[in-house]
Amino acid sequence: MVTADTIKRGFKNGINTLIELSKILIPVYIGVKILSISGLLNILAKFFEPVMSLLGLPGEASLVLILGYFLGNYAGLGALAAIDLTPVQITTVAIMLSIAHNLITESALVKKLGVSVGASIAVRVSFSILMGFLHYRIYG
Amino acid sequence: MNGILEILIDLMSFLWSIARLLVPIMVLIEIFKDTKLIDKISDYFSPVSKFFTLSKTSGISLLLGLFFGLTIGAGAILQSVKDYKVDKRSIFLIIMFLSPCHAILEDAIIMGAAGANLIPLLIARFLVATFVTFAFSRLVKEKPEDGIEAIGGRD
Repeated sequence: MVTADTIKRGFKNGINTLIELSKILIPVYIGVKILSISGLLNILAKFFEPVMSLLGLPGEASLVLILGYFLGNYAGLGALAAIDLTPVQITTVAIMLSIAHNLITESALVKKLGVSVGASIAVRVSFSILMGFLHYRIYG
Repeated sequence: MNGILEILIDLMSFLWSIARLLVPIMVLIEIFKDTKLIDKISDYFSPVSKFFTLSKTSGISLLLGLFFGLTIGAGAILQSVKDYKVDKRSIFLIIMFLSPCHAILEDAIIMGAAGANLIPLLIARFLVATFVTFAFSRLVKEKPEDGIEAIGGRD
Protein backbone atom coordinates (compact mmCIF):
# COMPACT_ATOMS: atom_id res chain seq x y z
CA MET A 1 0.00 0.00 0.00
CA VAL A 2 1.17 3.49 -0.83
CA THR A 3 0.65 5.81 2.13
CA ALA A 4 1.96 9.18 3.22
CA ASP A 5 4.70 7.20 4.93
CA THR A 6 5.90 5.88 1.55
CA ILE A 7 6.37 9.42 0.26
CA LYS A 8 8.02 10.52 3.50
CA ARG A 9 10.47 7.61 3.39
CA GLY A 10 11.36 8.34 -0.23
CA PHE A 11 11.90 12.01 0.55
CA LYS A 12 14.09 11.17 3.52
CA ASN A 13 16.14 8.69 1.46
CA GLY A 14 16.59 11.34 -1.22
CA ILE A 15 17.89 13.94 1.24
CA ASN A 16 20.11 11.41 3.03
CA THR A 17 21.62 10.25 -0.26
CA LEU A 18 22.24 13.85 -1.26
CA ILE A 19 24.06 14.50 2.02
CA GLU A 20 26.14 11.34 1.56
CA LEU A 21 26.99 12.41 -1.98
CA SER A 22 27.87 15.95 -0.98
CA LYS A 23 30.47 14.62 1.43
CA ILE A 24 32.31 13.25 -1.61
CA LEU A 25 31.32 15.75 -4.29
CA ILE A 26 32.23 18.95 -2.48
CA PRO A 27 35.78 18.01 -1.30
CA VAL A 28 36.67 16.50 -4.69
CA TYR A 29 35.29 19.52 -6.53
CA ILE A 30 37.27 21.94 -4.36
CA GLY A 31 40.37 19.72 -4.47
CA VAL A 32 40.36 19.63 -8.26
CA LYS A 33 39.88 23.42 -8.41
CA ILE A 34 42.92 23.83 -6.14
CA LEU A 35 44.95 21.41 -8.28
CA SER A 36 43.89 23.37 -11.34
CA ILE A 37 44.72 26.81 -9.93
CA SER A 38 48.08 25.64 -8.53
CA GLY A 39 49.11 24.25 -11.93
CA LEU A 40 49.55 20.67 -10.68
CA LEU A 41 46.62 19.47 -12.77
CA ASN A 42 48.43 20.77 -15.83
CA ILE A 43 51.43 18.54 -15.10
CA LEU A 44 49.21 15.48 -14.66
CA ALA A 45 47.26 16.40 -17.77
CA LYS A 46 50.44 16.69 -19.88
CA PHE A 47 51.52 13.25 -18.71
CA PHE A 48 48.25 11.54 -19.70
CA GLU A 49 47.56 13.62 -22.79
CA PRO A 50 48.82 11.05 -25.36
CA VAL A 51 46.56 8.32 -23.95
CA MET A 52 43.54 10.54 -23.42
CA SER A 53 43.74 11.97 -26.94
CA LEU A 54 42.94 8.47 -28.27
CA LEU A 55 39.55 8.91 -26.59
CA GLY A 56 39.16 12.49 -27.78
CA LEU A 57 39.62 13.79 -24.26
CA PRO A 58 41.96 16.42 -22.80
CA GLY A 59 44.64 15.26 -20.34
CA GLU A 60 42.72 16.70 -17.37
CA ALA A 61 40.01 14.10 -17.90
CA SER A 62 42.44 11.40 -16.73
CA LEU A 63 41.86 12.63 -13.18
CA VAL A 64 38.09 12.16 -13.60
CA LEU A 65 38.61 8.57 -14.74
CA ILE A 66 41.13 7.72 -12.01
CA LEU A 67 38.87 9.12 -9.27
CA GLY A 68 35.82 7.44 -10.77
CA TYR A 69 37.43 4.02 -11.21
CA PHE A 70 38.79 3.91 -7.68
CA LEU A 71 36.43 6.00 -5.58
CA GLY A 72 33.17 5.97 -7.53
CA ASN A 73 30.87 7.92 -9.80
CA TYR A 74 30.40 10.78 -7.40
CA ALA A 75 34.10 11.47 -6.95
CA GLY A 76 34.49 11.29 -10.72
CA LEU A 77 31.58 13.66 -11.25
CA GLY A 78 32.90 16.12 -8.69
CA ALA A 79 36.07 16.29 -10.76
CA LEU A 80 34.10 16.39 -14.00
CA ALA A 81 32.15 19.43 -12.85
CA ALA A 82 35.42 21.22 -12.03
CA ILE A 83 36.98 20.97 -15.51
CA ASP A 84 35.84 22.28 -18.87
CA LEU A 85 34.67 19.70 -21.39
CA THR A 86 32.45 19.72 -24.48
CA PRO A 87 29.09 17.86 -24.33
CA VAL A 88 30.49 15.00 -26.42
CA GLN A 89 33.50 14.69 -24.13
CA ILE A 90 31.24 14.69 -21.06
CA THR A 91 29.23 11.85 -22.58
CA THR A 92 32.40 9.87 -23.38
CA VAL A 93 33.55 10.19 -19.78
CA ALA A 94 30.05 9.39 -18.48
CA ILE A 95 29.89 6.19 -20.56
CA MET A 96 33.31 5.10 -19.32
CA LEU A 97 32.46 5.84 -15.69
CA SER A 98 29.02 4.23 -15.87
CA ILE A 99 30.51 0.94 -17.00
CA ALA A 100 33.44 0.91 -14.58
CA HIS A 101 33.38 2.77 -11.28
CA ASN A 102 33.93 2.33 -7.56
CA LEU A 103 35.87 -0.84 -8.36
CA ILE A 104 37.26 -1.40 -4.86
CA THR A 105 33.93 -1.32 -3.01
CA GLU A 106 31.88 -3.07 -5.67
CA SER A 107 34.45 -5.84 -6.03
CA ALA A 108 34.02 -6.56 -2.33
CA LEU A 109 30.30 -7.11 -3.02
CA VAL A 110 31.03 -9.34 -6.01
CA LYS A 111 33.42 -11.42 -3.92
CA LYS A 112 30.80 -11.80 -1.20
CA LEU A 113 28.61 -13.58 -3.76
CA GLY A 114 31.42 -15.96 -4.64
CA VAL A 115 31.87 -14.59 -8.15
CA SER A 116 35.30 -14.02 -9.67
CA VAL A 117 36.48 -10.48 -8.93
CA GLY A 118 39.07 -10.71 -11.73
CA ALA A 119 36.40 -11.46 -14.34
CA SER A 120 34.19 -8.62 -13.12
CA ILE A 121 36.98 -6.02 -13.17
CA ALA A 122 38.45 -7.23 -16.48
CA VAL A 123 35.05 -7.03 -18.18
CA ARG A 124 34.29 -3.60 -16.77
CA VAL A 125 37.60 -1.83 -17.42
CA SER A 126 38.15 -3.26 -20.91
CA PHE A 127 34.61 -2.46 -22.06
CA SER A 128 34.75 0.93 -20.39
CA ILE A 129 37.73 1.90 -22.55
CA LEU A 130 36.31 0.24 -25.67
CA MET A 131 32.94 1.98 -25.37
CA GLY A 132 34.56 5.34 -24.65
CA PHE A 133 36.65 4.89 -27.78
CA LEU A 134 33.64 3.87 -29.88
CA HIS A 135 31.61 6.82 -28.65
CA TYR A 136 34.41 9.20 -29.59
CA ARG A 137 34.72 7.56 -33.02
CA ILE A 138 30.98 7.77 -33.70
CA TYR A 139 30.10 11.17 -32.22
CA GLY A 140 33.42 12.99 -31.88
CA MET B 1 37.34 36.90 -4.18
CA ASN B 2 35.16 36.81 -7.28
CA GLY B 3 36.68 33.47 -8.22
CA ILE B 4 35.72 31.85 -4.93
CA LEU B 5 32.15 33.15 -5.22
CA GLU B 6 31.95 31.78 -8.73
CA ILE B 7 33.13 28.34 -7.59
CA LEU B 8 30.54 28.32 -4.79
CA ILE B 9 27.69 29.26 -7.10
CA ASP B 10 28.86 26.64 -9.58
CA LEU B 11 28.96 23.99 -6.89
CA MET B 12 25.52 24.90 -5.53
CA SER B 13 23.85 24.76 -8.93
CA PHE B 14 25.54 21.41 -9.57
CA LEU B 15 24.21 20.00 -6.26
CA TRP B 16 20.75 21.42 -6.96
CA SER B 17 20.64 19.81 -10.40
CA ILE B 18 21.18 16.44 -8.69
CA ALA B 19 18.80 17.06 -5.76
CA ARG B 20 15.77 17.98 -7.84
CA LEU B 21 15.98 14.60 -9.61
CA LEU B 22 17.30 12.41 -6.84
CA VAL B 23 14.51 13.13 -4.35
CA PRO B 24 11.63 12.33 -6.74
CA ILE B 25 13.33 9.10 -7.87
CA MET B 26 13.77 7.96 -4.28
CA VAL B 27 10.06 8.54 -3.69
CA LEU B 28 9.31 6.57 -6.86
CA ILE B 29 11.47 3.66 -5.66
CA GLU B 30 9.58 3.53 -2.35
CA ILE B 31 6.26 3.50 -4.25
CA PHE B 32 7.62 0.64 -6.39
CA LYS B 33 8.51 -1.32 -3.29
CA ASP B 34 5.20 -0.71 -1.50
CA THR B 35 2.96 -1.53 -4.46
CA LYS B 36 4.87 -4.78 -5.14
CA LEU B 37 5.06 -3.56 -8.72
CA ILE B 38 8.42 -5.27 -9.02
CA ASP B 39 6.75 -8.69 -8.63
CA LYS B 40 4.39 -7.97 -11.50
CA ILE B 41 7.24 -6.80 -13.70
CA SER B 42 9.18 -9.99 -13.03
CA ASP B 43 6.45 -12.04 -14.71
CA TYR B 44 7.01 -10.15 -17.93
CA PHE B 45 10.73 -10.57 -17.45
CA SER B 46 10.85 -14.36 -17.81
CA PRO B 47 11.73 -14.37 -21.55
CA VAL B 48 14.88 -12.43 -20.66
CA SER B 49 15.81 -14.97 -17.98
CA LYS B 50 15.32 -17.69 -20.56
CA PHE B 51 17.52 -15.90 -23.10
CA PHE B 52 20.39 -15.71 -20.62
CA THR B 53 19.63 -19.29 -19.48
CA LEU B 54 19.15 -18.10 -15.90
CA SER B 55 17.19 -20.12 -13.38
CA LYS B 56 13.62 -18.87 -12.89
CA THR B 57 14.01 -17.63 -9.34
CA SER B 58 17.10 -15.54 -10.04
CA GLY B 59 15.70 -13.22 -12.71
CA ILE B 60 14.21 -10.89 -10.13
CA SER B 61 17.66 -10.26 -8.61
CA LEU B 62 18.87 -9.09 -11.99
CA LEU B 63 15.90 -6.77 -12.34
CA LEU B 64 16.37 -5.30 -8.86
CA GLY B 65 20.08 -4.72 -9.41
CA LEU B 66 19.45 -3.21 -12.83
CA PHE B 67 17.18 -0.52 -11.41
CA PHE B 68 18.22 -0.09 -7.81
CA GLY B 69 21.94 -0.80 -7.80
CA LEU B 70 24.51 -3.46 -7.21
CA THR B 71 24.09 -3.34 -3.44
CA ILE B 72 20.36 -4.03 -3.64
CA GLY B 73 20.91 -6.60 -6.41
CA ALA B 74 23.51 -8.40 -4.30
CA GLY B 75 21.21 -8.23 -1.27
CA ALA B 76 18.42 -9.76 -3.34
CA ILE B 77 20.74 -12.54 -4.52
CA LEU B 78 21.80 -13.33 -0.96
CA GLN B 79 18.15 -13.38 0.09
CA SER B 80 17.11 -15.61 -2.81
CA VAL B 81 19.95 -18.00 -1.98
CA LYS B 82 18.37 -18.31 1.47
CA ASP B 83 14.83 -18.64 0.11
CA TYR B 84 15.40 -21.00 -2.82
CA LYS B 85 18.21 -22.97 -4.30
CA VAL B 86 19.96 -20.58 -6.68
CA ASP B 87 22.69 -22.13 -8.75
CA LYS B 88 26.18 -20.67 -8.83
CA ARG B 89 26.11 -20.34 -12.60
CA SER B 90 23.04 -18.06 -12.53
CA ILE B 91 24.67 -15.90 -9.87
CA PHE B 92 27.82 -15.60 -11.96
CA LEU B 93 25.81 -14.60 -15.04
CA ILE B 94 23.73 -12.07 -13.11
CA ILE B 95 26.88 -10.45 -11.74
CA MET B 96 28.42 -10.35 -15.20
CA PHE B 97 25.33 -8.49 -16.39
CA LEU B 98 25.09 -6.18 -13.39
CA SER B 99 28.81 -5.30 -13.21
CA PRO B 100 28.71 -2.95 -16.19
CA CYS B 101 24.99 -2.18 -16.00
CA HIS B 102 23.34 -1.43 -12.66
CA ALA B 103 21.50 1.38 -10.91
CA ILE B 104 20.54 2.74 -14.30
CA LEU B 105 18.03 5.22 -12.86
CA GLU B 106 20.39 6.79 -10.34
CA ASP B 107 23.36 6.81 -12.72
CA ALA B 108 21.31 8.29 -15.54
CA ILE B 109 20.14 11.06 -13.22
CA ILE B 110 23.59 12.08 -12.05
CA MET B 111 25.25 11.70 -15.46
CA GLY B 112 22.40 13.64 -17.04
CA ALA B 113 22.78 16.36 -14.43
CA ALA B 114 26.47 16.56 -15.31
CA GLY B 115 25.50 17.17 -18.94
CA ALA B 116 25.93 13.75 -20.56
CA ASN B 117 23.77 12.55 -23.44
CA LEU B 118 21.85 9.64 -21.95
CA ILE B 119 20.89 7.74 -25.10
CA PRO B 120 24.40 6.61 -26.13
CA LEU B 121 25.17 6.09 -22.44
CA LEU B 122 22.31 3.64 -21.90
CA ILE B 123 22.88 1.91 -25.24
CA ALA B 124 26.56 1.38 -24.40
CA ARG B 125 25.82 -0.11 -20.99
CA PHE B 126 23.11 -2.46 -22.24
CA LEU B 127 25.22 -3.53 -25.18
CA VAL B 128 28.18 -4.44 -22.99
CA ALA B 129 26.06 -6.21 -20.35
CA THR B 130 24.05 -8.18 -22.92
CA PHE B 131 27.09 -9.16 -24.95
CA VAL B 132 29.14 -10.26 -21.94
CA THR B 133 26.28 -12.17 -20.29
CA PHE B 134 25.25 -13.86 -23.52
CA ALA B 135 28.85 -14.87 -24.28
CA PHE B 136 29.36 -16.32 -20.79
CA SER B 137 25.96 -18.05 -20.83
CA ARG B 138 27.05 -20.01 -23.89
CA LEU B 139 30.61 -20.58 -22.66
CA VAL B 140 29.83 -21.75 -19.13
CA LYS B 141 27.96 -25.05 -19.28
CA GLU B 142 24.94 -25.78 -17.11
CA LYS B 143 25.58 -28.26 -14.33
CA PRO B 144 22.40 -29.57 -12.66
CA GLU B 145 24.16 -30.61 -9.46
CA ASP B 146 25.67 -27.16 -8.97
CA GLY B 147 23.75 -26.10 -5.90
CA ILE B 148 23.88 -23.70 -3.02
CA GLU B 149 26.81 -25.26 -1.19
CA ALA B 150 29.11 -24.22 -4.04
CA ILE B 151 28.71 -20.54 -3.23
CA GLY B 152 31.48 -18.64 -1.54
CA GLY B 153 34.56 -20.68 -2.38
CA ARG B 154 35.65 -19.62 -5.83
CA ASP B 155 37.59 -16.50 -6.68
